[in-house]
Amino acid sequence: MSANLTIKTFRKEMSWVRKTEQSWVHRLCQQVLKCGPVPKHVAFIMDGNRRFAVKNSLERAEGHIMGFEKLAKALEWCSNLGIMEVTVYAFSIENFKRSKDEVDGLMELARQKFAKLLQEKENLDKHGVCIRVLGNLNLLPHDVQVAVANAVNLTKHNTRAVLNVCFAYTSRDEICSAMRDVAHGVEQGIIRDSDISEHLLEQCLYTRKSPNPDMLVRTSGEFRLSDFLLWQTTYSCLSFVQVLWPDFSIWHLYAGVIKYQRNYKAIQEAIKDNLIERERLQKESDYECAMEELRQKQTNHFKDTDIKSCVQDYTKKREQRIKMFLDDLERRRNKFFDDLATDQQVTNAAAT
Amino acid sequence: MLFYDVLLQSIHLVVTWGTLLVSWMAIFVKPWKLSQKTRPLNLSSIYSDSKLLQKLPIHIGFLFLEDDLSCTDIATLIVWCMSLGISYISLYDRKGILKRNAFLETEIVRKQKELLGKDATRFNIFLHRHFFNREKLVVERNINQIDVQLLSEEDGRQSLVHTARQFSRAVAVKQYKISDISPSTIDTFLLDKSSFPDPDLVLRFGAVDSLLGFLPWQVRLTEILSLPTHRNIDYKSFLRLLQAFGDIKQRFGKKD
Repeated sequence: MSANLTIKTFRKEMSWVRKTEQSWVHRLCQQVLKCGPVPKHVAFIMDGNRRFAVKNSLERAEGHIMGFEKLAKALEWCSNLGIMEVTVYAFSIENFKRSKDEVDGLMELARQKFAKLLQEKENLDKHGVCIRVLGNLNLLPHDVQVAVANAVNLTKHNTRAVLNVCFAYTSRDEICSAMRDVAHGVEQGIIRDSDISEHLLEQCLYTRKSPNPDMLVRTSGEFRLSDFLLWQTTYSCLSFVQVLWPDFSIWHLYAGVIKYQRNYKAIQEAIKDNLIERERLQKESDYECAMEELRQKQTNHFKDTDIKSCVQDYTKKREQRIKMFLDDLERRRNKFFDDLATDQQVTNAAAT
Repeated sequence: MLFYDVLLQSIHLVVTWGTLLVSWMAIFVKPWKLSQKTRPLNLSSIYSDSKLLQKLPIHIGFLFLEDDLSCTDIATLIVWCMSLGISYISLYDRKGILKRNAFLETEIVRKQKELLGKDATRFNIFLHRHFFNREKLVVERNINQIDVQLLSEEDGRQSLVHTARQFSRAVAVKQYKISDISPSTIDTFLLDKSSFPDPDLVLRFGAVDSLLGFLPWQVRLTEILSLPTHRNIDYKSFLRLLQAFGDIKQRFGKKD
């Protein structure tokens, strides 16, 4: 039986955003958890949908549908706890290697879910949910790209909660795309190669609008990252959970938060040290570059005040270059989505 | 209300540290599959243990996320790995204390003699302290060559920054096209610099559930296991983790 038929026979219409009544037990647990720091951004590797399907004698496609259902629930749990940003690994570039039936089924699920999203605009706006789709979207079928672009454009002005869906994504591909962007900037003369820093590369990643995840949760008992947010999670608290994703419960989430709180001090110290080191390297680089420029201009010795003002001047110019580069990058990315959305409008107009 | 707050805080404290205690107990109480007899540790006994493992990592990474580092225990770990047949070892501490440690080499030599006796001289150990600008590893390796790289935070993201700069320069002078920059060319570049394959297994020591900056690019498919501490590390706990590693099956995103 093909994946398409299965999805169509599934009875419930599942929403992206929901609000259900909480029991007093859950409310109490949340109050206990809020005694400590609560993560602001959690990433999920929702592993185990297919094994869940096999275990419960369901079609594979139904496993993915249950997975989506669990995602919607998890978003609600997160929102109740105060976790306002969630990133999920929905489809890896490696997953294209699966059977055609399964890939087609997943693309169809994506089409339906993103189409449903457009119908829920009021609900999404009411809860202030912004949806971003991160990945090498050029690898997707054109109509899925259009559905994605519409979903992203529809919700981009919301600011209360953010859901990042990694689709046609791998971390190495993302880092590679950031390296290409900076190489392009250097080639065009917008920035210099010495301007490339940890901060700049981070601003070129698909996740540039989000802070790094505080916590990464992976289900189904696997102990690896599988090419997901490798750069961004290097200081995240890692929580490897034994259950399959559709069996993930609110208690697993609470346990993850407790783990995050235990690790908070050690991790924050490491992050702080990293930021101090970044600043030190940047200052060192600005000084060396400024000195180099000064040497090329004057052959005689120069006063301390000359050096100081030269470095300040260089820093200011470097920051301007970087701003121009990043603004240009933002423009090109928005254009990508706007062009796709226009495609849809053209298609709609032609159809009427 | 004040009493209620205090109550919540107390429950929070108990839950936070109680769960840690329970998880540590689980590590030490797990049943022991391999031989129960305490027999003397030497090259042949360790080597025969390696034969009982499903698979051995080619490159193992040890992440020391604790404050006090014990050279003796680190040297012991290296000698065990050597005897088991693991030829690539990474030692990571965030601040690079091991890189600056003058005693590690002598400690390794001492432990080799202590544990392996006359077999100690069989192995050649090379220590590498710099990620870039290191001597190329010998192409024709023999099985008794062990390469150990000492890493710190600067070898992680910062090495990717360095890579981005190199590629940008190459594109600017028309040596490279932008389309030539791909995950595999980046990988080749990094491999060419370090000569170490990606780690298949990483062992975290210390009660920190994070990689804290360790080689983000290279840990794409790495199995991440952990032990509470490396101090007074005992052989059985170490072997138990290698056994767990051996039992793992990777699916690589494709089929079940």
